[in-house]
Amino acid sequence: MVSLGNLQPLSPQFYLLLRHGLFLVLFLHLPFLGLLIGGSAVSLLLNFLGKEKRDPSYLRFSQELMGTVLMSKSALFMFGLVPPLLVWFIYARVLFDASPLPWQFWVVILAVLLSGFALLSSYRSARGRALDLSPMSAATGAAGLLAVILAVFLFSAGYGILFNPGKLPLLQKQVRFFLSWHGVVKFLLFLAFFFGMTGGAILLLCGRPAEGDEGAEAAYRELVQRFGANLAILATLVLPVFLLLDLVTLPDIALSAEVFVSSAVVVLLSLAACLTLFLSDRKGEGGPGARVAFLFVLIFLVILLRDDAAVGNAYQDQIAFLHMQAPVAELVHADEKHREKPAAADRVAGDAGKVVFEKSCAGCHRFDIRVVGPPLNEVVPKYAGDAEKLKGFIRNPVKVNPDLPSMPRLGLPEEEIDAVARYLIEKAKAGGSP
Amino acid sequence: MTHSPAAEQRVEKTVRKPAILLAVTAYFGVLLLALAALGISWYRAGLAPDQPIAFPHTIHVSKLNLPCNFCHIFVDRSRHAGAPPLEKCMSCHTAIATEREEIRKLARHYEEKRPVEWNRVYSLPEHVYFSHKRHVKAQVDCSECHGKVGAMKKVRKVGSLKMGWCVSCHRVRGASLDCATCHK
Repeated sequence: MVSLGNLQPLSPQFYLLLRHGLFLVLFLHLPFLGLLIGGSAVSLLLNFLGKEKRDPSYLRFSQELMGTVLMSKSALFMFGLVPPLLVWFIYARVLFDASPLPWQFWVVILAVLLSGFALLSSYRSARGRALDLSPMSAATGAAGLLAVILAVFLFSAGYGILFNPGKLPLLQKQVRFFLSWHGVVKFLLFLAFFFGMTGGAILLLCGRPAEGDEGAEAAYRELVQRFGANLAILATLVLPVFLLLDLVTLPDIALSAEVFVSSAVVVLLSLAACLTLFLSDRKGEGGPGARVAFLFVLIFLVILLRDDAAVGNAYQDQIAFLHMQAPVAELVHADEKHREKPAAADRVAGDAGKVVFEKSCAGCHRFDIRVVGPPLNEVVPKYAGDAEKLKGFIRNPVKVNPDLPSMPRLGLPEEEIDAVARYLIEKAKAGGSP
Repeated sequence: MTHSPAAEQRVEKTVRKPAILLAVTAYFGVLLLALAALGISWYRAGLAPDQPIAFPHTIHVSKLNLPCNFCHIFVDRSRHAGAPPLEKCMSCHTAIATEREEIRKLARHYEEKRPVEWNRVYSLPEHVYFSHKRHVKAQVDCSECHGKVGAMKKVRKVGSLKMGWCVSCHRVRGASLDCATCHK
């Protein structure tokens, strides 16, 4: 089985592209799932309330909401199932370490999502057929809802791993390390956002007037608006608390001033949404729906930007390392490629050897004069063109001249030792200057 | 007691609405204060402190490929990895990059026989016994706890050094979980 996890990022630019791509995918995927979860949960709750209170307007609301949030099958596929596949691929490259999460993890998420979608679709069509719903259909809906929530929980746990590179070596040995408090808090934060957005969507989209008694219609609209507003208010109050918990559980290396500032922006946006809801006159036309929905989308965007910055902080050193490695790796790679063609090989080996020399040796050695180590024009000819002997010394240096500090063992990869040894012999033979 | 609708509206407008506004603002104010406190405590923890001499691990580790124990010579023989004696620095820097300001600082320290007081990045509380030697002998790579130091212009703290962090690794590697192993 080919493991996607063994892929390494190609270049710093490609790495950045992938990471931003990841957050773009999440920006489409999670709000979609959020409406689905929030809408179905509220629809089921209204179904229960309607039966308890024997009030058909609750049932009508439940029906209308389910029809609003669950879109066509192609939308479910595009926004529900394709994104996790993309995230699966991106993870393999963004996390640097090999096989951070086993493929089984993603297959389980997809299977759970798929079954959840199927159950919710069946609930939606039963819901659409009649106001009075059989307990069986309600149970189907509840099962579907739980399945999608479970998928989001698993996904959040996997998402939490992004922020803690120190855990990856542990994760490779024991799968249970994919669970973390940070993942749990991310899950709760997402849920708060989901319900807030659902509240905004209810204010914006539901309570459409129908044919009938005007008084009853106004009462229905009032019910819908009140429900949507209360849901959104609750979310604005709870979301910042989870955001603070998220900061507490984030590993220190993921933190930076940006992360704190964007968190403060999220708290202020939540305050704005909360005040919009309290101050708006809910009875009039053009209620706060559009503004609140927009604020929640903005909140989510800032949360994702914040997470992007946090992942960048956590992987800052690996990215810097990528920047430092890129030129050498390319040349050594080219050297290997050209080895079969002797004429080209010498030229490229010369280039690769020169790069290695400048990277690892030039700090202490020059060809013509003593720096820290002896002048190479004096010592390299002692090997009389015996590259193997010189490579042996580079691999494992021994003190030759007691007047000089001993050369450290550099631990260079074998292909770099080979390239630099050939370069040194070539260069010293020609009586090389620096 | 009954109120006329007009009186009720007045109460709504003058008492209830401002009270709710005040409560909401206070609630968010408290959250913002908590956020600020978290930010300040993160800032004061100084996870990447400035050093008296800006020693670049990037050059020594990544460019020159020096192994960690070339300078931290006690890492496999003592509890502490140790910072190198100034003689070690000067064995190369009597000749290399002597014109740089940071190297001049180093040379002054060396001439005046004044040790460089490096700022600690990693420190453990007194009730924890930790030995570098044991961990090196158990073939734990330096980077597992210290991260990619070779890519850090300024060293920053990577691991949390909290007990859970230690124990997770001990568990995965099958190392001792006895309290007395670390709390002597």
